[in-house]
Amino acid sequence: MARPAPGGRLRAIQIAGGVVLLFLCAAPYLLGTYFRVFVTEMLIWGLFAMAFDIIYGYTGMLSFGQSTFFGAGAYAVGLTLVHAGSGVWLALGAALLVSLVLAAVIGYFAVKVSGHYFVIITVVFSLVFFRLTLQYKAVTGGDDGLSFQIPALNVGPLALSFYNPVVNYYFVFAVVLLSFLVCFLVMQSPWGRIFVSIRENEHRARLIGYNVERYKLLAFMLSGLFAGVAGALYALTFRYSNAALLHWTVSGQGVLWAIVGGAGTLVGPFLGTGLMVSFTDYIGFWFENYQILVGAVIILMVIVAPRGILGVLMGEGGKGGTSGGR
Amino acid sequence: MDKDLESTSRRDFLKVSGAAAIATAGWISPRAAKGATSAPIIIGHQCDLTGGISSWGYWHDKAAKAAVEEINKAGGIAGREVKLVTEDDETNPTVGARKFRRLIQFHSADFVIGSVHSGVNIASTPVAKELRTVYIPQGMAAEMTEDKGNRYVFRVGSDTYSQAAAGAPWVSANIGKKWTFIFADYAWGWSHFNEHKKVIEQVGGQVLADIPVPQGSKDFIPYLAKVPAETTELYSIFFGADSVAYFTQSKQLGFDKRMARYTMLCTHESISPKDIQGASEGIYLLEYLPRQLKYKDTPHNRKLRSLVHIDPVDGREEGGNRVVASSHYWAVWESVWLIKAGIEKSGWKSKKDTPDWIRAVEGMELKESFAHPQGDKVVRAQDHKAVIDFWMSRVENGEINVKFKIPKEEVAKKFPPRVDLTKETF
Repeated sequence: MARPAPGGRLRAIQIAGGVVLLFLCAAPYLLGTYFRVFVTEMLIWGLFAMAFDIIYGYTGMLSFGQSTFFGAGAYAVGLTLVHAGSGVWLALGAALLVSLVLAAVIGYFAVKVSGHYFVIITVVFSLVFFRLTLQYKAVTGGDDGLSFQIPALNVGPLALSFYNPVVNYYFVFAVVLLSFLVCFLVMQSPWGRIFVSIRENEHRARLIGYNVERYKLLAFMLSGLFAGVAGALYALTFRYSNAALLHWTVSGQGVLWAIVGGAGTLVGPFLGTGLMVSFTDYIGFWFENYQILVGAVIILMVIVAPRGILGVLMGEGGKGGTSGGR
Repeated sequence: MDKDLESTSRRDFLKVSGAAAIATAGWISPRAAKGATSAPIIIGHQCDLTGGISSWGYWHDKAAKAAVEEINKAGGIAGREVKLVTEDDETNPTVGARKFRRLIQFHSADFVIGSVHSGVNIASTPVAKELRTVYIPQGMAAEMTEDKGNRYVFRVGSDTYSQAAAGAPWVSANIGKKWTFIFADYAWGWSHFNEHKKVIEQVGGQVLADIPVPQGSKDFIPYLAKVPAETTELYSIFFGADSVAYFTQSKQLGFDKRMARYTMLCTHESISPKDIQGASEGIYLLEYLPRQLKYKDTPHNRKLRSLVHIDPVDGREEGGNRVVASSHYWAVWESVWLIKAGIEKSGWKSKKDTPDWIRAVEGMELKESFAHPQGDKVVRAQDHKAVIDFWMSRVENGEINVKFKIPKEEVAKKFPPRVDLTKETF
């Protein structure tokens, strides 16, 4: 398990976290139009990376299939709005349901294997759903994607428009914050402890009487659910969905962001997403083959700071593996 | 004082807050206020510099830079300097839509010239309306200036609708009436199929089969095996590496002997017939500006070719191996000049005048000139599509030779507007 961070460092991180939270609360009034959308997008991708980290950082299963749930959430919103002519709340409900059911079905098969086999099965499921999305072009728009209009969001007597970037930002921020709090409570609960015990020693967890497959499935479903929520927020923000969102390379991005930020934590994936998305957005303008630089940064991170940036900040840079539930 | 807080060293705090500062660097930087009439006019270019169509994107980038340089050398537009900002969309719709937004909201682009990837265009057109910015995409899918388009979207080049109207009647009458389509499985490929099918059925032809092929397929044999034996005309539409794979494998399987092969120049874009060892020999293709200078040897076309440094026969870049995207790069060049013409006609000064620019360009007639070397054309008011000349060509002895020109008046007969965007409010 991770060495506890010295009190001073921990407190410094807590203060910095508080500053960031305050900044996020006021962001729409501090930022220009582009960065308002940019931070909104980072929150969405951060939620996606955090969802991945439930399955990887906490439970020890490396999945490249979380993009399936992200894409499912995005398409559930788009298709419900286009074909059912529903409101935003129903579209969000559909996204939650679809991603949860899909995660239960895929997870049922995937958690029966572990190690490399688990990685492969998640990639295969991801490719199957990606191909299906391409195939049923008349419904999904395939490679070209699906553009749609978002109706006003009814909250009591208020009808809020997603076309107002401030409304869009606060809605995304609220959902991400709520998702973070739910995940935090789950990870502090006995379920979270059991996830970590499976990651640390699956055999021992089994010997002391836990139904390991059931808890793995639970972690997989939780991860899929929040990846689906991120996908739904993406669709509401950009009014667009595309088959490419289901491709396993999207999962790969979540993996990288979580590892760079600090796997096995809920904050690390947000930190990694923020840094990497800012880095690529800035560097991409100056250097078209920026992915070479991204690759170099990741190699460097894995060698120098295997616990990610959060690990470095907490003085655990040299320790290998994931850092336990925080 | 809290003991933990007391023990928080300044170094610890700076380390943590430093990470946050790096992540947010530049976000809150003050920006120069725009809108003053002396400020540069900013043209954004959403360009496919990397990814599947990067071999075309290279020339689009070059054409846009050359146009802006020429305009600035001549005093800019309405006395204002023109600034070009280019963002790479990675030939990816999701990235493309984000870069489109970035061009407008971060770089403050007044106008945006778009990608040649129809998927990127379709993802970006709703954002153009949302951000009230003129968008001139280079992709060919007809929908962008029809049911998936809006009043902010304009064309200077061709689209699948005009291409079908230009080429399909002659091919059906003179080469074969039993068509099979093999095409890239995304908006552009489907748009080619749907538009051609309509024209072929109008002129008494028959579509035997449609065979969509996923992008990036290396092995075409399973798809070519589905081509019905009675096909007289095999229509293909691909780009880049997929084109080379199609030409090579259809030739290896003897399709060039059993039926005529027909395509748009797009499938041969940035590829010299000489570089694929005769795999495309004998194929008919529709050009939107001949690759060989001798078929459009005008002072304006010669000048444009000299600015991008290409040879007169293969369109190969001087001192290199790249082959010009001959049927597309000119449209990027002309898009920059269209922006200029619209500003000068409407008196546009800032983004708030964009509706005036749109009204000025709707129905604008563009005369063949240095600004419009491809030829005379009209930007139709109703659907914002350009009515242009085409050329029917054939690959012979490793060169793309024009057989005859199809004048825009002929094209227009089978290319009436299907929407009226002028009714849309701003």
